[in-house]
Parts: sequence; structure tokens; C-alpha cells
Amino acid sequence: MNTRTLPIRLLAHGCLLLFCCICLLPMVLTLSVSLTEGAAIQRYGYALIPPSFSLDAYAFILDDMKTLIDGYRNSLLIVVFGTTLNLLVTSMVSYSLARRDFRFGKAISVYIFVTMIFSGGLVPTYILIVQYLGWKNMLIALIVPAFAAPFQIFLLRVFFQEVPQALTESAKIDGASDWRTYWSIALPLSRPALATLALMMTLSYWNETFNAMLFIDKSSLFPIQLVLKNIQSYVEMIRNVGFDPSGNLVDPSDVPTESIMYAMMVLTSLPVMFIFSFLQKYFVKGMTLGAVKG
Amino acid sequence: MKASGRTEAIVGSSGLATRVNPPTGVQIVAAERVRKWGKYAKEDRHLLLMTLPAVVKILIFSYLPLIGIVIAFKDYVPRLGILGSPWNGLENFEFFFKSSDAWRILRNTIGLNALIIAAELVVAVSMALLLYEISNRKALKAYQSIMFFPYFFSWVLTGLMLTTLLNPNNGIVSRLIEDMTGREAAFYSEPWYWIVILPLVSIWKGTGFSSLIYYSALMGIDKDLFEAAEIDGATKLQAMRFISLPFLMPIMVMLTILAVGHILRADFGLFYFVPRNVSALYPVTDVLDTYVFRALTVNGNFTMSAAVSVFQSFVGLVLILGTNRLAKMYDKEYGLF
Repeated sequence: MNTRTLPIRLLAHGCLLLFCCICLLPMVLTLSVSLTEGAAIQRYGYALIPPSFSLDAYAFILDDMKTLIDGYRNSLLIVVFGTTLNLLVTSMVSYSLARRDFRFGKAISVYIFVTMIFSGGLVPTYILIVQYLGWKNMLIALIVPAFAAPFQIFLLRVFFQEVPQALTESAKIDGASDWRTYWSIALPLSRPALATLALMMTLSYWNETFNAMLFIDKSSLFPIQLVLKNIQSYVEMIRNVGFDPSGNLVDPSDVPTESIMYAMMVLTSLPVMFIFSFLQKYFVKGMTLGAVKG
Repeated sequence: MKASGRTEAIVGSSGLATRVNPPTGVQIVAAERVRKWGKYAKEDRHLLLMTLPAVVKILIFSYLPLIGIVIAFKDYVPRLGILGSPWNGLENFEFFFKSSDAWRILRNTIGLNALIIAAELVVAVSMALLLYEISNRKALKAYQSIMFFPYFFSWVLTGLMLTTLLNPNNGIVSRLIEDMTGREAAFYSEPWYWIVILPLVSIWKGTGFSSLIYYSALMGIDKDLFEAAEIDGATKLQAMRFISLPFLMPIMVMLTILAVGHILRADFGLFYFVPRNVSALYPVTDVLDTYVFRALTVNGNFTMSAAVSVFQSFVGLVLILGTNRLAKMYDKEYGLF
């Protein structure tokens, strides 16, 4: 339409295309290597398109699924319980703080804000959880510490503040309790914000690795990220020792070790990729709103 | 304030009963205040109850560990507990700062983080400006979605994916370099490469999100401004320079202040999982967070880790106040608080 801006637009498209290709490159390579035959990797190295196609790596993993299934189960437990409870805790406190007639709102806001600036650091928290709460090797140690994150509380408060005060007041005149106005007015009206928050929580619980490394050392309790982290050693064990972790004898020469690692990566990331490519719109919208407002 | 009011009132009322002194003005005001807030608490009890789980959680997980900070000034013996262990002044700090690691780790933390902050700022703002030039809705959506993908990956996965590029034998970048120079590019044993790799990975993962923040800010610009500029004969580049960039400036400053305030808190995942904790790379990739983590988990050195954490928090606070001050000196509007 406008010839004067055409070169600029072409340049913009070019730069963005290049950047997007760079974003995609490692993902495509991972997928490709996971589908490549072991011998072909030795000969050609990694390639964008598998030189010789094979599903051996996936077959091998699916043969001995225990590690993977344990990981999925643990992560799923963390995500489901964590997100539900955290959403409840966070939304309750945010709702109270958003109510202008709540006379302790200011004090509690300050109480929460202080923790955004000062933190005890890793060691006292570690001692608290391991020695005083005794949560070593318990999944709860990966769930509760993420509850009531100040940033999320304040983010949600902004949304609750937009619920018309008149609505709450008229409901109260009709005899609704605070619980009722929270549950039947504020929550339904803030569904998009809650969805965004739920997505943020799901993502961070699913990707949780740090606390897991600190508090979990029983391999049956490993969340999926720890399983992934130990893939290298898993693969090397097969290669060097000739046993897989469950003690079965394997012949190292017919194990496509390298592809197994990449196949495992694909398997662990697929569900998330799948879910988030559908829900991304929500996520992006909520994140930008929060960023601009918060 | 509330708590002190209450104790004053208790003292006040008991004084009244035993000594029969007339209550002073302060005591009456204090008693009045307690009664008032007591009434409020009763009226707002449902709302108070709703805050309870969060308040308790924060008390246990954020305030209790604050007391635990004293461990940094103690010779911690697990058997005696945190409070029972003997004090040892600043010995734990001395132990860290006199070690040969201190300089290397501080240099890595501050140097790499500064590099990352600057690089991310430039790339994110440029991408946002480029995205703003795209008028085709479908293309725009596609670009944004693709750029956002890496944001969803965990650092563990990111680190493993990077091996497709950097693996010594088969990685495509390693092969490319080998073909071009004839020498082997040993990314996982030669630390100096990582001065470049780490910021690049950080950009790869974060740009989708950070450019989105700037992009949505750009959406807020009044389109008339651009039309007026065009009529006055401004080129596209001039419009960017004199309309878009000044508009983004406050957000850029704000996010940079926050980032600088956290400069001693490196993103643990980036520095631990992306170089895959290879000890040959420590000269460049070891930062405060990974150092503290290893001191705690590998050596069980609680006190030194705590001392380093305290140092981190303290410097962070000073930095955030300092950068905020500087930003305000530059322009009153730019301060964060």
C-alpha cells in the first residue's frame, strides 16, 4: 500500500524471520536427532532432517517406562495440587486486599511487600524445610514454598480491584457474606486473570528443578525435570556398564544412546508444548496486562 | 504499630488497677485504639480469615528465615540449632572474601549479568520495534508465538537442547567451526566461549517475553503522532528515534533498575544447567548462586553459604536504592519509588 515504508517492512520481516529460525533451530534439531538411527549420527553428525529415519530410541524408552512414568506422575501431582491450592490461597488474600473497605489491607500489603525486598536466602530456608519441617524427600517441599508469591498476589489484586465495588456492596446488602462475594462475584468475573495465573503456576511447577535438587534424592520421587537432568547419567550408564537403571542387562552396541537422550527430551517437553501452544493466547494476554499494570 | 498499641494498653489498664493513678492521655488513646481495631477485626473477620493461609505461609517461609540469617554470624553446629550455636563475628564473611574464589565469582556474577542485562535490553527493544512495523496480523501472531516458545522450556531442557549445537563431535555449530577453521571447538572444556554463549542463550529464552512487554507499550502510542511526523517529512527511522524510543524509555529504565538491583542474583538455571555444571567451565560460569548452591549441597558448608547470601541481599538493596536514585536524578518521572 505504502511504497515508502516497504523497505522498512521487508527489513523487519527479514530480521524477525531470522530470529524465529534461531528460536526454532535447537527444537527442530532435537526432534530430528531423536528420530535418527544411531549409526547415522556417528557418520553424519546431527542434521536438521534425519538422514535415516528410525524410532528405535522411542521404542527403547517405551520398553522400560518406569523412570519416565514416575517422573510424569510426580510432576503431575505437584502441578495439580500445587496449582489448585496455590490459586486458592493467592486469590483469597488478593481478594481481601482488593476490598477497599478492608481495614487491615494496608498493613497486610506492607507485610507482604517487605518479603519482596528482604529474603533470608537459601541456607535458612533449607534448614527450615529439612530440619524443622522435616520435608526431605516429600513432594510437599516442592509445592508449599511457591504458595502466595507476592508478585502474583499483587497482580491478581489489580484484577480484583476492577470488579465494580457497587456489585459487592449490593450483594452485601442482600445478605451475602464476604465468602459469598468472593466465590460468586469476584472469582467468576476475574476468570481470565485466574486462568493466566493458573498457567503461570502450572508452568513453574512443571519446570521446578531447584527445590527438587535440594530436597528430593529418592529417584522414585523425582519430578520430570530431575529425570531429564539425570538422562545423561542414565544414558552413560547404559553405555558403560551394560545395565539400565532397573538392573536389566543391555548390550551397549545395539542401544542408540544419543538418540535416547533426545527422544527423552522430546517426550518430556511434548505435553507442555502441546498445552501451551493452545493456551498461549491467554498467557500472553495476562502477562502483558500484568506487566503494564503491575 | 498495632502490637505496640496493645501492649501499652495492657500496661495501662493494669497500672490503673494496682496503683490507682489516673490514666495518662497516652494510655487512654492507646486503649481507645485497641478497642477500635478490635472492633474492626471482628467486623472484618471473614476477610481476615481469607488472608490467613497466605499470612501464615509468608510468616513461616519468609519471616522465619530472616531470623535464620544470624547463622551467617555464627559457627553453626547442627546439634545446637541455629540459635544455640556460638557467635563468631564476621569470620564466615572473611572466609569467603579471603578465598581465591571471591574475586573470580564476583567478577563472573557482575560481568556476565551486566552483559546479559544490556544485551537483552537491546534485543528486546529492537524486536519490539520491528514487530511494531509488521501490519500483517497473521505474520505478527506467528512471529510472537515462535519467539515465545523457548520461554516455556525449563533450564534443564534448554541446557540439553544446546548440546545439539555445541556437542564436541556432532553439534552443528561445533562441526561448522571445525570445517571452517580446521580446529576443534571444545565448547564444554574451554570456558571463554561462555562469555558469549550465556548471554545468547539468555536472549534466546527471554526475548519472546521481554519484547512483548515493550511491544504492548508501543501499542499505547497515539497513531496520530506518527501521521503528523510523516506529514512533516520524517523518515521511519526518525519516527522510531523520536517517538517510539522516548515512549519506551520509562519502561526501559524501570526494568533496568530492577535488573541491576538483582545483579548479584544470577539466574541459577542459566548458570547451572546451561553449562551443565561442567567444572572445567567454572572460571567463567561459576556465579554466586551456583557457588552457594554447591557449597551447601556438595560441601555442606552452611555458614559460608549464609554469609554469601547476606552479602548478596545487602548489596542488592544498596544497588536498587542507588540505581533508583540515579534514575530520579536523570528525570524525576523515572524513579521506581
